[in-house]
Amino acid sequence: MSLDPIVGKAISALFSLIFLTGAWDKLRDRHVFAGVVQGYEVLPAAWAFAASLLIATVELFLGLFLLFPGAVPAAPWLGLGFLSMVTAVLVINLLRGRTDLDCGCGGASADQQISWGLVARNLGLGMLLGLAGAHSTLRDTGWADVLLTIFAAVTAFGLYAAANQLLSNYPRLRQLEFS
Amino acid sequence: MMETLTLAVVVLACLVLGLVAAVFALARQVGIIYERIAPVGALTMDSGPKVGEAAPTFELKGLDGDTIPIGHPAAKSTLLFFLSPTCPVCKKLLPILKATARSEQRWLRIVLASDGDVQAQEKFRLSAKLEVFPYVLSTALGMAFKVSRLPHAILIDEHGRVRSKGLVNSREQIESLFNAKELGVGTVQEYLGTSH
Repeated sequence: MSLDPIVGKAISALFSLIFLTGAWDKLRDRHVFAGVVQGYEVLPAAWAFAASLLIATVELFLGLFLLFPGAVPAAPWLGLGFLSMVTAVLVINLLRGRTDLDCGCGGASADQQISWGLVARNLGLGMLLGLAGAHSTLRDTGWADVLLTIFAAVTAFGLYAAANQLLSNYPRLRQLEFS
Repeated sequence: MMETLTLAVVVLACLVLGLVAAVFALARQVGIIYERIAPVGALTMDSGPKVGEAAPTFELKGLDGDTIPIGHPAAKSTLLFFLSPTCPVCKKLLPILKATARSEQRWLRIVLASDGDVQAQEKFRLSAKLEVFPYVLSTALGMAFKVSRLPHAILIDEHGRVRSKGLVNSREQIESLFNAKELGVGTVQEYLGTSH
């Protein structure tokens, strides 16, 4: 199946926004993020700070690769690999029964506790990345296509941010009900 | 016809963007309301022992095995700091807490409080170099002070009365607890209430 090139480009631009804002937040609050990485307890505690810097740097480069889709054709697949890795860590901790961990996602999804909702979100994101990496047809694109790409990416990012806000509101609402 | 369609797409695109912005703003505002009504900053919910009231008294066993009295009249005031090994913001505040312990040692004793697995807590205490602080594990203590979110701090004066309390996320908010004691105001709400 071949897709119109705009689909892949819009998805790449969306993930570029997601990864760049995420990396920015992680690098800005790197000590807090190191604490988050330590909290997940999948690495020796001594590695937490180095690992957190590595994660943020990888995210930064993924964001840049996706911003210029021609430069690194495999960028969506690299993004999918990264997403799978963090989702695996998420699932490990959910299976341990720990939901009180800070997600540490950063960017549009800052200040969230981990939940199965996040796993579902990441599965959806993964499918989108798969679409972006899928083979697309070639056609001449003009300024209208550029506008459409930007529009689609910005709108989707807005929806993504709103969905994340709602995900992070939910545990607070629950907390009020029980207090 | 083409012109109408083009125009329709452009108009619809603008409307969709506007709607997305509105949806996000609404979700964000709901989030802000939750933050405001839940204890954030040195703000407090009206639960647990009130400021000015006597604190519930406890005699707890510290991680070192010694008995740590809480809420009794004592020579120094007590800052009860609720934390957990899984709370990143708590870790950010630990260096600030250590500095505070040194600079305020004339009148202040800092006690760390948590609950849960003893081994995990001891590991955390060693790795974060918290041996200078008395460290107690007690679910009853957190329940008595109605601690719902971390890091939470409660300042108990030398007479065993609660002087200020709240969720703390920064150095300023820890200091605001001390200011509250000096000013004789318990919470930010109370301060705002009297100044209006």
